This record gives sequence, C-alpha cells and structure tokens, in this order.
Amino acid sequence: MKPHYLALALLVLVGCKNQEADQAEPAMEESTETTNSTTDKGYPTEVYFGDTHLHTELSMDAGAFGNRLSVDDAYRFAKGEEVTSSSGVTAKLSKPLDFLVVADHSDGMGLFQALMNNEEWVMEFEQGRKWADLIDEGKGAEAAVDLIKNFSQGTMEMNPNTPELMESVWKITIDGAEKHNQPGKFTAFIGYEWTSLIAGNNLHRVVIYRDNGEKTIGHLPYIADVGGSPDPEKLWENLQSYEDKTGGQVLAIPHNGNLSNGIMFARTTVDGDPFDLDYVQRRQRWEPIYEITQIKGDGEAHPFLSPNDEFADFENWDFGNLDLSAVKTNEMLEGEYARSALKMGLQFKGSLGVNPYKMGFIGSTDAHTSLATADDPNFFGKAANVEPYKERWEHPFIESELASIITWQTVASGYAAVWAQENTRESLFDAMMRRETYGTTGSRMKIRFFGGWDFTDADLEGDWVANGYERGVPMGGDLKNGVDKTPSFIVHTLMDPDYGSLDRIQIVKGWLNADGTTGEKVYDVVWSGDRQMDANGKVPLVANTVNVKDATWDNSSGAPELSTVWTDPDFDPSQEAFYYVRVLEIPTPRWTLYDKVNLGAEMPDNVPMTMTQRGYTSPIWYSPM
Amino acid sequence: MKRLLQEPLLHFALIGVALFLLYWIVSPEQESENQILIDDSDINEIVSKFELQWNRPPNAQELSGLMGEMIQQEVFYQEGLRLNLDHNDEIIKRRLSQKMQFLSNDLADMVQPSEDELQLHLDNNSEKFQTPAFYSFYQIYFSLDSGEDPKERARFVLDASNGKSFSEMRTEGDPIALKYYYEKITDFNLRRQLGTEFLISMQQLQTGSWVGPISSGYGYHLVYLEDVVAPKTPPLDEVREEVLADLNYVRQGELKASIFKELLSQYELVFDFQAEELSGVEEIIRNDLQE
Repeated sequence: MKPHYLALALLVLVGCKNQEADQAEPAMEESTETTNSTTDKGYPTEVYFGDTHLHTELSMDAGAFGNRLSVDDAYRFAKGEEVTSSSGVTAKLSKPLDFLVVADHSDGMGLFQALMNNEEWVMEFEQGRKWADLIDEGKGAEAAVDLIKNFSQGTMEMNPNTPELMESVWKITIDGAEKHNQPGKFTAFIGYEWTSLIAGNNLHRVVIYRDNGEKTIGHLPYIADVGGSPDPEKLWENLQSYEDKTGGQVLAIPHNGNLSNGIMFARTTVDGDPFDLDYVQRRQRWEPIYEITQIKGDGEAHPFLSPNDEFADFENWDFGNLDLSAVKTNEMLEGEYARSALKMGLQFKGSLGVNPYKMGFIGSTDAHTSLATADDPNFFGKAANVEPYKERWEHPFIESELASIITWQTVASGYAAVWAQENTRESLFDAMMRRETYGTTGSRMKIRFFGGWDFTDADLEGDWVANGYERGVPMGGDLKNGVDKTPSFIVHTLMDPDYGSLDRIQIVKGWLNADGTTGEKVYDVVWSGDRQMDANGKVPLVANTVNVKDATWDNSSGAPELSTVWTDPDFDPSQEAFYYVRVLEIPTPRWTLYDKVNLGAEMPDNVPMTMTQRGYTSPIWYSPM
Repeated sequence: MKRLLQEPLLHFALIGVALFLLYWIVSPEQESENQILIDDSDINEIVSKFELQWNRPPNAQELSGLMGEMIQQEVFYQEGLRLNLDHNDEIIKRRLSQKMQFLSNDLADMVQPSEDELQLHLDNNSEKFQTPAFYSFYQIYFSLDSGEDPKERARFVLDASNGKSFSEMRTEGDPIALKYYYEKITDFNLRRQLGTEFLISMQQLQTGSWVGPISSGYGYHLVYLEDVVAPKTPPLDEVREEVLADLNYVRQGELKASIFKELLSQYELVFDFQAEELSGVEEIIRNDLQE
C-alpha cells in the first residue's frame, strides 16, 4: 500500500538536490536518423538480420539455468557492445544485429525471481520448496529441468501466472524495447513467447507486435496454463482481441515442430476436429512465417520424409518431444517438418480452398543466455550453464528414462533475414506479414528469389532486382496470371564474406497430384566450380577443406556469388505447387570444432566437426486459375 | 561520475535517502496507531488485478471478499511487526535486501546527471558514441573461382594501372554483385558488404592510389581509396540520449557497490571459524569485499 508514497518521497528529496541540473537540461529530442533507408526505389534494397527469439533472466527456465543478464544487456549485446555473460565470460557479437525480439516465456514470467526470494505463494507448495532449496544449494539447473518437466506434463502444483508478477515483468520487457528501439538504426520489437505444451509436445509460438508500449502495455501476454489455454486457436482469439481493442497489429511465429511429436502441423485441431474454413483462414492470417531453424534442431526436412534428398539429414532432432517423455515414431514426422507442412497445405488448399500452412521462413536462436549468438566461432550455447567451457559439449541437455540429448547436438543457429524498405518496427513487421523473409543457420548470406512468367538469362545482365519486382513476385508471393506459360525464377546469392563460400543453390518444389497425393523434388540449379551433374540430376558433393587442427578452410572450392534463371522443366499448370530456395555453403567448422581448437575440448568421433551453413527462403506459390 | 561517487557528501545523502525509504517500507502505517486506512487507490489496485485475471470487474460480493482478505493480511502483518516476527526471518531478509538494491537502481535513474557529468562520460567513452568512419573508394574484384591465380592477375592489373582512368579500370577484374564505387559508406556497412577482413585492411590504407591485392571472403580486390572521414566524437547535444542511457547503466552498477561499501563500513565484520580447512577463507572474503 506504500509504493505511491515512495515515489513521492524520492522525488522530493532528489528534486531539491538537482534543481540545477534540471534547468540546464534541454528537452530530449528523439533521434530520427534513418540510415540504410531505401524507400526511394519503391521496393526493399536491403536485407536486415536479426533474432526474433531471445530469452533473458526473466524467463523462468533461463533464470533457473543461471542467466543473470537483463533485457538491457540483451539489447546492448545485439547492438554490438561487449557484455559480461552470466558465467563471467566476456561476450561480443562478431557483427551487430539489425533487430531483436526479446521473447520471454508467457508462462511463469517472474516465477524464478519468486523462487529466489522464497516468496510465500510458491513456498506453500512442496514443489516450490524443493526448487527453492535446489536454487539455494546452487543447483538451479536441476531445478529448471524439473520445473520444465512438470510444466510440460501439466503437473505444476502452483499457478505460475500471477497477474502481479506478469504485470511487472511485462513492463520491464516493454520498457526495454522502447528504450532500445532506434528507428532507422536498430529495431527492438515488443514480444513474448507463448509457451504451449500438450503432454510435453511443443506448440510454442513467438508473438511479435508491430506497435509501441502505449498500445501493448495494457495487454498481458497470453498464457498457456490455467487462466489461458494451450490451444493455438485460443491464442489467435487473444491476438484478435488485441487488434480489435487497440487497432494495433500482431503476428505469431511457431517453432520446433520437431519437438511436437507430430502435432505442430496436424491434420486436425487440438480438439481433434477436422479443419474448417474458419480454422485455415485464421492459421494463415496469424502465422505468416515459421522458425525453420534454431539451436534445438533444424526443421526444414527429414530423411524419412525425403529419402531422395541427400541433404535432408541435417542437424535433425528426432528423438522425442520437448521433455523426452514420449519417443518419436516415423508417423509423427510428417506433422513436424516445414517441407511436409507446405505439402500438406496444398492438400488443404485443394479441399478447403485456403492453405493453412502458407508460411514463409525465418531462423532464430531461442538462446536462453540473453546473448543472440548463432555464430559458430562465437557460440554462447542454449543456456547459461553451457556457455563456453571445455567440457560443455558432453553436458546432458535433456534427459529422461527414454532418451537423452547432449549439448554437442545443439546447433549454433540461426538468424532471421528480412527484406524491408527500412529498419523500423513497421517496415520489418510488414515484410514478415508478406513473407519476404528467409532463415539462415547463422551465416548472413544475401539471397534474392523472384518468380515470374517470362524471366530469361538476359534478365541477369541488367538490373535484375528491378526486373524481378517489376515482372514477378519476390519470395513469399504468389504466381498469378500465367495462362499457357511456364514459371521461371531469378535466384541470386552473395556469400557472407565472413563465412564459407557457396556450394550450390537448390530449388525445392512441392506439388499436389490430381489424386490428392503430393510430390516433391529438389533441383540443383547452379553450383560452384566445374562439377558435372550426374545422370540422376545430382551435382557431386563439394570438397570439405576444413583443417581440423586450426579451424580454417579454403573458400576457393566454392563460389562467392551464384545466380541463374531457372525454368521449371516439369511444370503442370493443373497442379497446386510451391517453390523455395535452399542455399548450401561449403563445409566450414561447426561450433564443436571451435571448442576443440579454442578451449582444448576432446570429443569422440561421433561428434561432427564441420557443417554446411544454409539459407531457406520463403516459398513462392502457384495455383491453377 | 567516478568523481561524484567518491564524494562523501553524496554518499551520505544517498544513504540517508535509502534508509529513509527503508523506514517507509517497514514502518507501520503513519496515520495513527491501530488504524488501517483504505483509500481509492487500494480499491483500484484490487479491481485492476481482478480484471487482469478474469477480464471483467469483480461484482460486489467478490470485491467485498477481496477487501476482507486484504484487511486480514494487513492486520496480521501489523501485529506480526509488533511482535518482531520479521526478525531473523530468511525470506524477509532476502526480500528487504533485494528492495534495498532496487532502491539503488531507482536512485541511479532519478539522480539526473549534470551537464558536466554527461560530458565527462562522453569524453571518457568517446569510442562508444563516435560517428562512424566513412570510406569513399573504388574496388575491382578477382575471383577465386576463375581457375587462374587471382592474386597474380590482380598484381598484373595493378602493375599496369599507371595512367589509367577510373572508367578504364572498371572493366578489369571479375563480375560480382558489389559496387565499383562506394561513396561515403560507413564502417558498419562496409563490414556487412565486404566482411571483417576487408574492413581491417581498409583501416590501414593511404588515399590516392590503386593498391592491393587485398583479401576478403570473396577473393581479392584492388582498391583505390579516395577519401576517409575519420570518426568524430559528436557534441553532447547530438548523442545526449545515448550518453544518458549508458551512464545510467554504468552508474546503477557503481552505485549499488558504493552504497553497499559505505554501509558495510559502518559494521564490524567478525569471522569465527573453528574448522582448520576454513583458515584463509576470511582473507579471501575480505579481499573480495574490497574490490
């Protein structure tokens, strides 16, 4: 009942002392500097890189794993400043990011602080006492694991979502974003992660607002537990009510279908009902993009689903669900991976007229360290307890009686790339809504992708970006009005000069057959060097030049830049189809090799030392007239 | 700020404020003995919390129930304080100590730095607030991918560059989606476009002639650096907001440590270890506290 007086007392006391300073200080002007603004061309000429999915000490699990870095620290780090990590190591990003979403968990916001303070309402419960004791004994990570398990299984004794806690934490989140948002220079989005788990099956979504603090402060994050719901349809209702109430805009980004045991891209609603028009429309409306790659595994494709794709076996996590309370079976995989979801989406388009899985792609970290590092040479790990130290690779990450995932299996991935007119909340958000985005596993390669009806090689000679926008659609768009024509695509990639050169560009096509089944094919469309495509249409692997002694490699085996115009040789105008680009770099050192070279870690042979960085663009869709 | 923090008078004032506030937090209601005052703001708080949870205001019965709960808590709380039940309670200790730390954060935010302090912070950390360096240059590129040694080819072109115009030089080298002429590109963007290695080389170049080969992730380049605008420390007025935010961030940390030290100096720390293994621990702790 006293805080009101507190603030007053402070003002009176401090006010007397500082009259002088107050007078001397002119009103602050908001910085409106707009570097990199490219509005004059009428289309985006710059791609912005960021992380849409970063946790700070405010997330209960991050806090319990030992994260002591604030929202402020997270932004300072993303902007390129040096900070000291929770484990006391100096951390600096190799290249600053252009934008960041601090996305702390909706559920249990502030719970960890309550446990630290032994607050009464948590100490009433046996679980609360157990976790608080563990934290006191310095076993915060153990407490976190147990907490996550109970949360996933719905066996929390307490309600982790008291409004008092949520309100104060939400205010910290918003204040941080408002403070660090610098239109034109750096974008700080207001957002959170909706933490839905159904019996340990991951349905998480990151929620991002286009708006400022004034609009969002009155709308607390939607929770998945008691008082909210783990059903995405209920989340969409909540997002709708926000837009109705404030006139603002918001979107949701699902992630880690690979830990959903088949329910992320299901064929029915959470209640088991078949999709209807309303459902598919809303899914497409609220979830325009999907987080295709991150620390907990890559989610583009799986070798079981795509046996003819020799690159589908890539950093997949196919052991079980999020808490490993149920193991994975092959039948689940279709509902977990981006490519199979895109194909399923065509089937619903065929039957309902609207595609629920019409989604573009981004990558992000999901780091719980407040440090948005997807750089393999500079990887700070999934959580504060696996920040760089010699033995971190063997630390168990998730364990149950059924299976275990070890830290070396985590991936230093990824970033979100957004083609936008300028670096502002509005411009980046709008680009996400129209899916003009791609995801990378950490490299900042520049990928362009346009689809049209009359592109030829000559287009590459002139201003091909202008041609692309003028006579076609960019990634995320729809091919329209193509009577009696075959679609052609301009694809171009410039390597990240601080990563590996380019091995090849592929176009992945999926389509819907007349009998309702689907097909997929991966085309090598342009590649480095003088390798010859074999009879099966496959280009041989590029040489692995990584020197495991010193983590160096030779860029001359790949190309700095690849581009081509590709026309679909198998086009059938009667079939629904999608096309997206997958770019592969030459093999470069994986974070595990940097740990070996820099920290002297000794790892067995089954731990991979190299990987090929990738980029995945949003698809371009074709529908018969 | 450092200078100010060493000012004993300020310490005294800040600690005075902190203790005063602490008193406000733990002391019984000021109205009078045995009185519990409930006003509009209490009701508003209850109602808004209820609304957050249920998306509707409480009805009369619910409100009355919540008020009863609040009054009961307040009565027990006051009596508990009277009976000194708060003493030596681990939870209360931790909570109060945390509140004290929050106070120091609030203070750091609320004591507005003076003009001089901001200027000093800007001067001492000028690299953080500098304008970027701007580079204007021409570059031609030699690909690793072309089969021949790109470094050799670059040297050959460089040797023959004397007397050649910029438009003649433009046709040398291999095509790539980079510009031939970059006008006033910032170091930040230069690094995005051409990578870290290239930027480091550029920082050491003289203007006015073709030089190279310079290596980047793409391959090799010949570069003609036309002009460099060195980074400048802007006047305070242009970066006031950033300097203020940064100073507040630094100061929160310093103030917290300084208040703690000041308060600690008013106590005598006595260690009474019996176990042999613990000899030496005292010194470590004392040293750590001094830092």
